[in-house]
Amino acid sequence: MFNFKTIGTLVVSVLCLLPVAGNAQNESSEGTRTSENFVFVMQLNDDDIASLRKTGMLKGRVPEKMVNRISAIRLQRKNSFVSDSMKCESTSERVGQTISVGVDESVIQRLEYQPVQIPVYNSAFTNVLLKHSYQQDLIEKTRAELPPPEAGDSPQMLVSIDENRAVIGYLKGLSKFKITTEFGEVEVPSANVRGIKFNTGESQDKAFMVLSAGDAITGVFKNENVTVRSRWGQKELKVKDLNWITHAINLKFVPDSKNEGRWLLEVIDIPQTAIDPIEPALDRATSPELNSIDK
Amino acid sequence: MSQLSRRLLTTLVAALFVIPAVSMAQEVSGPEGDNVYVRVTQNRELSGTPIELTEIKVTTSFGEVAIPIAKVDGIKMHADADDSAVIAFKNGDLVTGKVNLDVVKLKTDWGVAHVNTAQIEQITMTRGARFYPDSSTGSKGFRFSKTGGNTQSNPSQLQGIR
Repeated sequence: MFNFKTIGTLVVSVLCLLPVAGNAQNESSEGTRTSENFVFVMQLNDDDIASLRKTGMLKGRVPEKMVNRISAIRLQRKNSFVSDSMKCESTSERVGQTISVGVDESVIQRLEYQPVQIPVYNSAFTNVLLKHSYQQDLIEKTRAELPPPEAGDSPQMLVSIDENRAVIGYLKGLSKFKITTEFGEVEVPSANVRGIKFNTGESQDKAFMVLSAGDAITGVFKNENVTVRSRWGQKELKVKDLNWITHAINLKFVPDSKNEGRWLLEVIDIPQTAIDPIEPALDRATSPELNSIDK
Repeated sequence: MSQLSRRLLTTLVAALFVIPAVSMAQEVSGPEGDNVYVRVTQNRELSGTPIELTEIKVTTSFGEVAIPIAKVDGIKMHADADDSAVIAFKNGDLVTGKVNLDVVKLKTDWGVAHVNTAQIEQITMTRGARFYPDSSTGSKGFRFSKTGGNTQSNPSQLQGIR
């Protein structure tokens, strides 16, 4: 008998229907044959992630209409940086009515960047149990710093596309930002830049740049696109879709209350959990939730 | 001190910073800008229209740029230990750099003043405008304020040395 911790905040929804030949064969041997399969979506919030890391597991219930028709499980966060899913093979095992799916730390961390879709080859389950394969050294290894920038890249930057979505990486080939100002076109070394605010409200294409010397320059960004090289790979973004770029995680643009239409780059307090969301794990050997699993 | 003595003293102090002004007045020509206020050392202020000064060249951290005077609201000279200047733009921008300019020529109501930039503390387009130190954004710098500006005053009262 399973006695899982209730995950009240877990949102489970059906996103799409995917006909998959391989899964159809599986289903024909296990139960109802159908030409349509579901992707079972588990949308995880901060509490879910913290619980998964602490207890090593997280459960979602499969809606009745989806039973025997699930071809993949998609894990996603509400504010992932990009919406494209990455496909990831993982171990899965069906125990009774529950399929357990192994999720390691690299998958958990990738969710901040993009959804992860895990194919499943079992059927006839009504619960999905995510099992976090906890290893401290793996966590540290996975959280290793970004590799060094390539020649011509910007220094490490936080690239934000809205208030809730950002990724740390290098701007490919942007050792200098070209910007057309009131006094002509200038090339500002990206190493001298503390932050750039896009979509300033003044004009769709005007950017506001703050330099390490305290200089503030308004102008039109020359590039139409930028490529961010993060630990998860490269992603090309349109400049007009950017919110801001800062050289540190604890910087944020706010409207200048004294000068309408202007912006200030402020230093903000970052909760420690935002910098390092990995909290000290429980001793899983004595975790009541873990021990309650009935295999 | 009588008013006459005060005026004489004022003129003498100004003469320290104004090099052969009146004698050069007939020789200088060129485009004139709007009225500017030049504060020199010892808290003295000149006002007049700059001559032959439509743009200033500034060496910044991102290279040398030519800044049109018409776009500028104020310049604070000698803003740091490196003798950099801070230029405040009308649109609110701020740029730090070394001003490549030795002398500012000003046409005043009493003649042309040649003011050595080494003696200039700030130049503003608005009377009473000022730069003030600011570190609220995490780095030391300056912000510019037009507060106290008075561009509507009678120009005759603003011309020349106060």
